Amino acid sequence: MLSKRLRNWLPALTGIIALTMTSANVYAFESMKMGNWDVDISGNINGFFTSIDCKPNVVGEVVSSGLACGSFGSDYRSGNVQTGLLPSWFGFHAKQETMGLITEINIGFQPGIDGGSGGIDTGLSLNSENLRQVNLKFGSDWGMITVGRDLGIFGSDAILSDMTLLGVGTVSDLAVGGGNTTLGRIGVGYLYADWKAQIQYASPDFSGFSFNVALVDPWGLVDLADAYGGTASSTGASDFDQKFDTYGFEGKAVYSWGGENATTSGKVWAGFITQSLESDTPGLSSEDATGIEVGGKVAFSGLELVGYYYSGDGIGTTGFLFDAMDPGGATRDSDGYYVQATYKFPEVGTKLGVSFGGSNLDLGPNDGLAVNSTLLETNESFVIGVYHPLTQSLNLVLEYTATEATAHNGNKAEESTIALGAILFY
Amino acid sequence: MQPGPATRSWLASLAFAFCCLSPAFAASDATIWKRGDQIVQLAPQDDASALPNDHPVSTTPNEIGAILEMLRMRFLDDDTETAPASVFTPEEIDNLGKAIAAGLGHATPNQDILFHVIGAHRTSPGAWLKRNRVSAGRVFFRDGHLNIIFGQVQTPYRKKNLYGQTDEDFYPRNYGSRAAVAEHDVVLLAADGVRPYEANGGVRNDWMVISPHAATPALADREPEPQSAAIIAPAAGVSRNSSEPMEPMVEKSTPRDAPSEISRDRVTPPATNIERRLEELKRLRERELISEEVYQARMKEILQEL
Repeated sequence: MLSKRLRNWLPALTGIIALTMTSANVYAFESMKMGNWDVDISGNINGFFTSIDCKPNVVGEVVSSGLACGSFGSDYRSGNVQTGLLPSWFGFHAKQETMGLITEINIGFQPGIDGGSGGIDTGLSLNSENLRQVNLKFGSDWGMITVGRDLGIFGSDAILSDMTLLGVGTVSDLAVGGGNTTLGRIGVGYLYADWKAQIQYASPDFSGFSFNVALVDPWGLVDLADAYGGTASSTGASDFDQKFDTYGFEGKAVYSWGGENATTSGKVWAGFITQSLESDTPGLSSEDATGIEVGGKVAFSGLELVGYYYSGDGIGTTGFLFDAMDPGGATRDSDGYYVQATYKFPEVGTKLGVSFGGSNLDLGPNDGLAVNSTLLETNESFVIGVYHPLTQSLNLVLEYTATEATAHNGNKAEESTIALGAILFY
Repeated sequence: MQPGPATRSWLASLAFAFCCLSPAFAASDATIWKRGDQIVQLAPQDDASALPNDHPVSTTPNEIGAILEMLRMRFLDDDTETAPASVFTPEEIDNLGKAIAAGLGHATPNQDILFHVIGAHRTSPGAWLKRNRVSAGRVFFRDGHLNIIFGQVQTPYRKKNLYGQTDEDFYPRNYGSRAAVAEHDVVLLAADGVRPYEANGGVRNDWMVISPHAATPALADREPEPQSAAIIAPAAGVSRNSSEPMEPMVEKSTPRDAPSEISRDRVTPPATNIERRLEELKRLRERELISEEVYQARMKEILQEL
């Protein structure tokens, strides 16, 4: 019955759509006005060939939570065609203004081009996909409120200023052979801002000054070190009977200057992140995870400089609360930084960039002697990249990244990645 | 490898330097009106060798609105070629009328009024579907005429989606230029009192010169303005993001001279303008860039304004 109805309706429906498209001369990917709504579909698709050389200092030596591939102790090379740091994106955005109130809808899902996990793909290993962004916004002259899943505040300016966002950066053992994205400079200069369920307030612009604060869904601990099989481990979610009657808070203050007509522009920012970690597990005390960040970006005559630093207690490294506590439930200190310089050639628009940075994780009081610990001490990388716009939408990217992971006991692993690919914004 | 104390100090110094230096680079543009990505602002003339504008000028939103209503265009693309259509939507005209009138009242002779507005235009006449389009350019008043140089005329409005953030324009903004001709997918149409700027023996499709006289008939169809809005009084204010009905505000700009006036009935350009225009006309004739007929006609036109 249904198929018969469909057979009857489909030609008519197809005709109507075709007629509408022809007569209305619809331009793809333009912001359209539908009723009172401005509707947009936007995002990007990107893909890179990556040639990766992974080398532990000594085969079999582990750097627990090291982000240079080879940290698992294996010496290998890998060639992949995979998504870069920026996930391919299909975003739907709608916005309307009624009686002075602006309302917005944002939904974005991220289809990766390669298999969903690392390793060699096989037949029928379908691509991965995420659903990272689902939120509503409303506001007016008094600011905007976001309710839903959106980019976290802490570390957001760091990743958005990272030149490898259009490239690949560090790949790591975790994303070799696939995965939804590579790591760029995540865990090698900044803590991943991540996509978090939150209620966020963004202030209006006060002559360049603005601030954001968010109440964030509380998260649990991640024991990433344990997966590496070294001597190190961390308190993980299963070890920590976490109370969830707590919340996370994040915020930042920003001062921006310059504009489209100014010869020099830039911004400076300072932010924080905090969340209580309370456990019912006997012997594990309650702790606070707290971090601060400062950063700055300045651009003049095609040259752009970025500097960023963060420091925290119990916030972990790479991702929020990754390896944040030692096996005894005491917090570990961590920090990181990166500096970056890019130059965009006038007329041709080609951008050359170089950056250097790292993230550090200290031992906790229950980690034992450093000489015995394979726990990551430092992830560090150097990146040089060329980003050439073929059109307003299409960019070609060539990048070289050297990453080194060092454990507290001196174990080391090195990753060299050459990436060549394209990214198309629509 | 841990960054040593020296590295951390250096980073802190870098952040401090950014903080301390940043005010020195603060934008000096004066925002007249802003709503989202739409903006009208004062900015220096784009060409240092350009003749000074006859600013400030006293006019009204209705007068500017009537002038903007006269601007018509037609798409060049064969697939979309349509009957002449308005460059601006009524909402754009309303917003621009108020903001440009305020800008002309506050601008100095070396300042232009830049605009970047977004209007919902039908995809074709009678179509139910509308698309958001950007028109941008610079406005100035000189020699008794309102000049509008268009950098963009109904070009697609897009934001680049970078990691879920849509802060960046997909296409660079173009406010037009006295020196560089902007290419458009549309033809701006001449009409009575509306003509393209003539230069080097040709005409520019991105630069329209409009006589305020031509808008007089259209003014009769517009709703009368409150007495207080008839002449825009110079006033200092602060920029803001607003979704309320627009009340243009200007910052960082104070008129240096008493505003000349675009009267609803007649325009009284300063005598120096007449002289300058006659000299310019004579120069063009002497260089044989215009014919004797055009020279005589234009001379009569200018003299009639006395």
